[in-house]
Amino acid sequence: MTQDKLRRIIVIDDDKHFVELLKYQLKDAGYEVEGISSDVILTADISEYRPDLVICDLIMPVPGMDILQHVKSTPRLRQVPFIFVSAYHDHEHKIRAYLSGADDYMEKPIHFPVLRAKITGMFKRLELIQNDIFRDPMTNLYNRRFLEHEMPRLVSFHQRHDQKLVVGILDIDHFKKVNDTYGHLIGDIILENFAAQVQTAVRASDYVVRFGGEEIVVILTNSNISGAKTTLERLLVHLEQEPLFENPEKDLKIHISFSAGLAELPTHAADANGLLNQADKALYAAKSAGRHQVQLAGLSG
Amino acid sequence: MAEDYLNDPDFLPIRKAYLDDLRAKAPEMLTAAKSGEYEPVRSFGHNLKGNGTSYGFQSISEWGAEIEQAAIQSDKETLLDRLPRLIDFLETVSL
Repeated sequence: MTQDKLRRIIVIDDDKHFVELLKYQLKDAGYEVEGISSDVILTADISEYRPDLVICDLIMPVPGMDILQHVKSTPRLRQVPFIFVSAYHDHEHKIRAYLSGADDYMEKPIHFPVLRAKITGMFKRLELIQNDIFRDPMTNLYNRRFLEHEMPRLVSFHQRHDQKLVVGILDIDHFKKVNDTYGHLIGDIILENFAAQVQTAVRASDYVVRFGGEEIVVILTNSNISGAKTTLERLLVHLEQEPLFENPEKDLKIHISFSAGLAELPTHAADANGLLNQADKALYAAKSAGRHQVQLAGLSG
Repeated sequence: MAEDYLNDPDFLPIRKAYLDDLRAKAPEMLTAAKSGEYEPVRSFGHNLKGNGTSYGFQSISEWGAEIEQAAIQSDKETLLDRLPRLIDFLETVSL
């Protein structure tokens, strides 16, 4: 869920104390606050920081207006709310900022309760927008559009922090047979319940995406492939015991299993498409080997 | 804008770091003002104006506004009054 994720706020200010001040002021609100000095901005791709909000000083050696232009002209960033902070209190600066695309302008000294309230409101609005854009209405999982939007950012973030990332593709075994035997209505219920089980099996910091049909992609952040394999194999065992559809009146219990392929960054690929391709090959190997199992990229022949 | 956080022990190191930084910078700004370099002094005053109150020092914000304005107007006389006052304050203030 978008709202399950730790919201990430990037603060850009040439005054390092202001960054510390904001970190302190926002820590109890449950946000992750990261400061970027303005000279880094000259060379960094802000999208790699995965911001949900940018708070930026207006007047710095690298002008805040330039940073705003960069954010608003970058497809992966343009929906990210942008707040200017400045000790300039005149209307002229504010008008220029708003006309250039800033979502808000706060005068320094900042009134922090007001800032926190603004951020809460902005994130509520962002969550509604992102739910519309990035959710699969049936399973409430993230959708393919989210994957295309978010995965490159996740990959570059993990590369930058020298962390491993695991991508898995899960496919329900013989799902067509379930649909043919019990009907699409029950098939849909099983798919919804399977999605919920996968969501429960991974951590809140991980991502579960409906890739299409009965295929689900999991992105396990800051994880390794052996841990991911254990997680999915536990889920396989759990599903042997737990039916995904039950009708006591008809004494009907439907169990499903799944096949999965896993690939790890940076071991098996260095970009989002490469990881998905490797995971897909491993999934194919899992199916070829008789289904109901998890295979790893590169080891699956 | 008195707020409870000013008395929070977790906030104390942040306030101290801010003051330490100002203690280092303020004499440099006095030297700059004496030699007629007004742009860094203006920028310094602007930042003081914006942030002093957030650390619980309204007087720093007020001096910052005056320093910024004086630097914009190349008003050395005012700068040579306010900057030493700021330096005195920074030397005497304790947390």
